[in-house]
Amino acid sequence: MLSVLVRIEEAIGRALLAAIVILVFVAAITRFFDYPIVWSVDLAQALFIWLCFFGALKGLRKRAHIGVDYFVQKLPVPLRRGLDLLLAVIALAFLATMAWFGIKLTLLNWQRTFGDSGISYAWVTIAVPIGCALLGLILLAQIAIAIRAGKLVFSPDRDEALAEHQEI
Amino acid sequence: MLLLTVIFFALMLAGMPIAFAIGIAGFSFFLTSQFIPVSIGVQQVASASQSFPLLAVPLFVLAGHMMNKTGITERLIDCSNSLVSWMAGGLAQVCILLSTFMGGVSGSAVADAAMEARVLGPGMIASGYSKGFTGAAIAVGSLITATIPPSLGLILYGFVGNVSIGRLFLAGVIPGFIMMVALMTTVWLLAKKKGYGVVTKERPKWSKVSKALWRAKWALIFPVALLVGIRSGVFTASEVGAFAVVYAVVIGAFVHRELTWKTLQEALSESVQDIGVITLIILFSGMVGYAIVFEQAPQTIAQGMLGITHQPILVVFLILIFVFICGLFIEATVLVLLLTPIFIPIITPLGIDPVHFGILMMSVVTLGGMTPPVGVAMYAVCSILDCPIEEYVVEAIPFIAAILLVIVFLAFTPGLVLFLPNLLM
Repeated sequence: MLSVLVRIEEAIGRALLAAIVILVFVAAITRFFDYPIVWSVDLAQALFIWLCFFGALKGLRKRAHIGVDYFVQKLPVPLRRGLDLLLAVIALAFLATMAWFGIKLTLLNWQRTFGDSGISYAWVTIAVPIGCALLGLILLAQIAIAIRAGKLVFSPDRDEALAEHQEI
Repeated sequence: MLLLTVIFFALMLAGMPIAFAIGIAGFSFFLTSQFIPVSIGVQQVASASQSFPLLAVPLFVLAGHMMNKTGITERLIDCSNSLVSWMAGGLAQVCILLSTFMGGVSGSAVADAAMEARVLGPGMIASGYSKGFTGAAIAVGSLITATIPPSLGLILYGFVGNVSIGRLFLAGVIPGFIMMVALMTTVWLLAKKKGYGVVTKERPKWSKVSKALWRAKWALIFPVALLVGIRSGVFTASEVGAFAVVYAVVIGAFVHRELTWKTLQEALSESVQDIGVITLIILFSGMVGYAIVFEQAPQTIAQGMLGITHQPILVVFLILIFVFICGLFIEATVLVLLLTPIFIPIITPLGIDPVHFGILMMSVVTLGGMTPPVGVAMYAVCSILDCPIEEYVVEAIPFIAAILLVIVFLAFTPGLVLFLPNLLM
């Protein structure tokens, strides 16, 4: 079940990026030949915030979001774990609050449209609450795993992160 | 503003991922403000994404990943090898030259440093170069990648500071080459002293060099085409980013015939993650940006600085020293996003061109990634090479000193930095 969700998330991320490339490319070409397609850039712009959040989801899953572990590395293990857990809970509360206010804002924004394209601006705004909620869910799962396995939530496990980077 | 700063530093030093530290700090401003509704904070996150120049970031990240999948990187390595490996410290010279070449197709110093450490590092260590020296040449050398267009840092600077990205790109060319010369000279002097790579003295044959250059022609033409596209004003930086991706696909699939459906998916997948990590910071910093403007932070800091001196060049150096110190602790993207909107309103009334200042600031900020205690490029290179940080630091000092000299020189020569943008745009 989880692996299906991960595959869907990955596929959406790749599709969003590919779509943005094509939309911006087509917009540039058509503008050059004096037949600009206005909605093309607007749509790319609207997809961009979704790409950001889907990339952020993958980043969180792979624990790739950079942090500074230089100062806490030397802490005794129980203290470090406690601090790490505290930070994770704070981040979770932040994401939940953002999601809550984001929904309220989206309802306010329903009427506003985007450029000349007729796309509702709500498609952009709603990316914030949905993105934050999904980030929160992943973080919640990571907190559960960390508590059970006695690991860190935000472990910037350098070897692991590097293994990811190896493929560049 | 004070609360925001305290929260940001406290969370960051405690090990919170930077994106969340920025988000929470920025959000605290809206939660505690009596005048601004909280939903405006969420609004800032959404509207931070609605900038066309910012679309250049995902496009150039993808273009950089594509270069590695299409045989372009490998041809550039070949090319650098045949050109400079005969010099003293030959393999280290190859690193510096490769960073310059890679600068033309990739915009990220960290990606370049990691690639070189993996591809060139083991060979250098096997040839007798110390790990520290290898790491230092690769990590500090990658600063050139971040200066030569396309540069992700300059795109971000242009985005937050509302400065022409085309002019910034053009302004990066000459400083990039000056850094290359300075670092190659440093390698040459150090290699003579340490006796690295002074054995094979045979100059390369012209036929061999020209063959390598010809093989890499599509990679070498690319940065020129990119600058022509932007310079002519016909295309914006974001559009050129999309062209770069399409170019890499065409070259990779039809000319080099190395790009497959599978490697294309890999490039997309790796890029999505890199983009997510960078842009989550950008989106959340939208809230901090609002707070900075609302609280008139630039004006307050400007008053403080102008209380010390009114001499423009001294103000620039004060700012650069401040940025350098921040750069020791804070990652480059974050610094650009937070400090650019504060400093541009300070330097512009003093008659300093924001394009000139941008090159200086970006060089200093990116250099922070190559120094302890917090240096992303340094950590990437040292862990790939399995090199202790202390060894790296000792060997990196002459390289960092050379770069600092270049930056001071560039600060005094706005005419040189602005020569290309003024000539061409």
